[in-house]
Amino acid sequence: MTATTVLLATAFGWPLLLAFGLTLRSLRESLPWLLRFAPLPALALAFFGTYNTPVKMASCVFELDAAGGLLLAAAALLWCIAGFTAPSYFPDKRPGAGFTACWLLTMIGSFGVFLAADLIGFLVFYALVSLPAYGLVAHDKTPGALRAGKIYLGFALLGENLLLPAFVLLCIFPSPPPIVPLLLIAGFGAKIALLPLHFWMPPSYTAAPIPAAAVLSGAAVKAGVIGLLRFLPMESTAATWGELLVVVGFCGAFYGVAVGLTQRNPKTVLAYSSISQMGFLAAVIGMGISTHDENAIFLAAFYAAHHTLAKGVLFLAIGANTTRPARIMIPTALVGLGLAGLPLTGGALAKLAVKSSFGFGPAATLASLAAAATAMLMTHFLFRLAGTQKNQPPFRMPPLLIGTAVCLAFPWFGFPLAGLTFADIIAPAAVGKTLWPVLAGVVAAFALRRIRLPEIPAGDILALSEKILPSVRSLASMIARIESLSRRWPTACSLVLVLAITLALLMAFGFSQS
Amino acid sequence: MNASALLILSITLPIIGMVLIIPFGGRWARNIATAVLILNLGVAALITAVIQCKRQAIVYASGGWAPPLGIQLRADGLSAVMLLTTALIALAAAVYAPREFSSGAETRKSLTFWTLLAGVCAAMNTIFLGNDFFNLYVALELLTFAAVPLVCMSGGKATLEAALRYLLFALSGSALYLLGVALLYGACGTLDIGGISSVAQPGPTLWAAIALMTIGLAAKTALFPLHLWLPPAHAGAPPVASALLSALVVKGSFFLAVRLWFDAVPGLIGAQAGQILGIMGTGAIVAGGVMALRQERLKLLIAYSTVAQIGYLFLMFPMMGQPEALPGGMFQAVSHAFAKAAMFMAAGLMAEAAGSDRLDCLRGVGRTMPLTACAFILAALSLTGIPPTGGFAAKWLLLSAAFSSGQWWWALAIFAGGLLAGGYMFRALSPVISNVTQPAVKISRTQELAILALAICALLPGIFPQKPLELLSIGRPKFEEARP
Repeated sequence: MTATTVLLATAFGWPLLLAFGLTLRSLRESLPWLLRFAPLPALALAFFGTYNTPVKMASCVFELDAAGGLLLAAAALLWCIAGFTAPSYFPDKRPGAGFTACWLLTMIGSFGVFLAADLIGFLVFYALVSLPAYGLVAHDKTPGALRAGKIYLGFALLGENLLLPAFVLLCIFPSPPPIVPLLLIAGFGAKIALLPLHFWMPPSYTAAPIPAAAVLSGAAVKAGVIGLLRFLPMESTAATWGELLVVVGFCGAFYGVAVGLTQRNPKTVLAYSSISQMGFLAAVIGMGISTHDENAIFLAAFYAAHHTLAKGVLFLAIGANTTRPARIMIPTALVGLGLAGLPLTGGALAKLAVKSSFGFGPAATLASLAAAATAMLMTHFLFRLAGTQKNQPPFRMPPLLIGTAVCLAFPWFGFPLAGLTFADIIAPAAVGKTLWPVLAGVVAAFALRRIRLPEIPAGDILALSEKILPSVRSLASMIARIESLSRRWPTACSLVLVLAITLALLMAFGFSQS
Repeated sequence: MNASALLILSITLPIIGMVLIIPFGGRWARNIATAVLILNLGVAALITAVIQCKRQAIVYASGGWAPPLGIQLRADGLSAVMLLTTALIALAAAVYAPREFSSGAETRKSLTFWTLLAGVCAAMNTIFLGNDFFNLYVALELLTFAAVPLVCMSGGKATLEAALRYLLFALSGSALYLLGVALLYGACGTLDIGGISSVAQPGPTLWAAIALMTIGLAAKTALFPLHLWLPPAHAGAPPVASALLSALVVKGSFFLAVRLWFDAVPGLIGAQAGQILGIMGTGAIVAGGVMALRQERLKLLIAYSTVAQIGYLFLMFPMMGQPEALPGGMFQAVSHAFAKAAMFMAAGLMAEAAGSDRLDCLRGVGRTMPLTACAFILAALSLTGIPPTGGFAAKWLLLSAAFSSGQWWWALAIFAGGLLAGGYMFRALSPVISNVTQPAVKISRTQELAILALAICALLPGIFPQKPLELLSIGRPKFEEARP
């Protein structure tokens, strides 16, 4: 038994043990305080585990690879930081047992998807990261939260049911039929809110308690990213699917910003920023697929790892409170504009890393424009953050500051792996390339401030999709009418005869054919 | 001891129990039935162990007469899996039931219940071991006559009406089956399953026989659109009776259909004929799912989910040629049996605590009985087919069979079924897990543990799929191993 095996076992076993601890009344009180320690074994695994050696445990196979390990480290850090703040969000510093259980289960799933190396194991953890999160989204039990929870769960189930046939096909056919990439893109796209499967995200993150929104938007959503990276092999997937991802991704990147700018609730603004960022990431993955570039896997993971921490910290900033607003605004501005590529921040490294994927054509221009759009949305977020009354009990500041530091510094540890050198980063040309979109975005956001935009309801086309509900209802009532007809004696008895005769005739027909 | 004696024991034990309960009665009824069911579980486990070790079926020719002269009992992997499932669920039902049916003095209800529980068990075991279609007809009738009174145990007008409805429809199903058996005898000159498979020739008589038997069995299984008896039967039956009915009784007639199609005449049914059963199954999945979504009462919701889940069982028939089809259907039968039994029993406890099984009255009931709520959630996950539950393994195998036979359209049925199941299970769960405070009630820990054990059993085929897959293949020459 190697150290990696032990770390693996504890990475899952320790949070699971804590979840079981909830059944003991004596432990239930102190458990929320322990949440911050739950991700530590996984963090240790990411740093000290042996990479690229499969480990068989129970009936699952696990393997640490560069992309998975990087995302695991980022996710574990975020779960840790969010675990620090989670209890203080609740009135008596004590979330309910249900919330704690859902938190721990989602965490286990979120680590598992980065580590699982077999199809079934991945699906198990994918279900774990998707379904218990309902308890986080709907936690507040307000009508809005319950509605958001329903929509969230609907999308999670849709994703599960799209992925299941795709995985079966992957398992039984050596060269999967062309429907598989489509199912995978749709299934994982539902998780990362790819257009047009995005409208669950704004209501969910708006409704979820702030610490939950932080981990869901930061860590849990990356289950979809790792899924795309693992199961759409860059070398063998048809380039068409890559191009589809690029188009849909860039649409999402700009659409998210456009709608996000009209939002007033800072949580909703961040949700739209997630749609935009995940769109951008899908475009990175799509470029990798269409050029069959294996490096894109790690680069996308590098970008995603930074987004994990940044988005988590931004959400936590909404809940932070202090007498001196500057102490919140400055770190938040650094992280937020970092997301757009503010030079020398971790975000700039992430942007530089993926820059090579886009080449020099129109895709590169779009990528720079997307960065400017992000800067604009982040500036809008800062305005909204400053302008929002805080009615939640405040978080303490240290976790936020630690989170900011980690977020700014984390990519600095990984940049050589992403093929960057220190000289690349501090070269004036590189600084200039990442700086102009940020400046342009900030200026544009200030200009936009004078115009009052109409607020689009969170979940934009959700309102449209509710328009088709009546027709779904009438279809359902038609099925119900057929069903109740079939339960009447005359129909049932004649059906028995008709079915028996049909069956016999079909057998005869089938035999005459063969 | 000869291994084949185990087969006799498996059938006679519950019958001896039935016979003993009637004269002793009173408070003895419960003890006799429980003892018999424990022994029955032991016998089932022994049969499984013997089959597992010898890697071949156990055969017993009654009176030493081999078929076609005598009647044979035969236990292969399929029988072993179903025997174990039945024994476990029947025992759990016995553990769960006491509060309702053993208040001490003998009542009509308690005596009926314990006798019928042993009766259902005897009939199921006979169905799983029988190897002769007339013998199996007798077992099927025994099962129906044990199940019908379970429906009307509370004795009200509505339940009597539902029981009569069930009785009449099940009997017409039996009549069709019997007619088919007669034709089958005419066509083949034997009713032994092995005998039929070696002498049967395709022809109009054989087709008519199979069609009549299959539709008769489908009517007894409540396969859509022949399910008119199922929802009313569940509406008024006590929870434990509903659990037996949904988990076990409908599986009896389904099992016979499997024997008929997969063992007796596997090569003689054209590929088209299976399609109609698949279409009926798809109809069941959609109609059952939609109706479950529209129910206001928890018990009826679960009953309609049974209608939908039975649909999955019949998806295996159009894909008969695939090695994954049979295990897929059997995984579904087993995990649905455990999950549904757990669910009805949990619903019973919750309705008792809340005073009603209307969904809006059940709010917050999970907080007063966390173990039951936990079992309810696990069972719901299995029925929805979330990994790593038994329901998931079944869906995986069925999808593999569908894709490798090129019949991808069944994947659409499974897709729709997964979404609908998610919807109606969410409807059932959301009041249970909501955080409204309910007055605390006294709950029996043993009842809760029995339910939890059943729910965990529903997960096992998904977590450890290899063992049951191996077991299912024993004693079945044409069956190749399939991996999920």
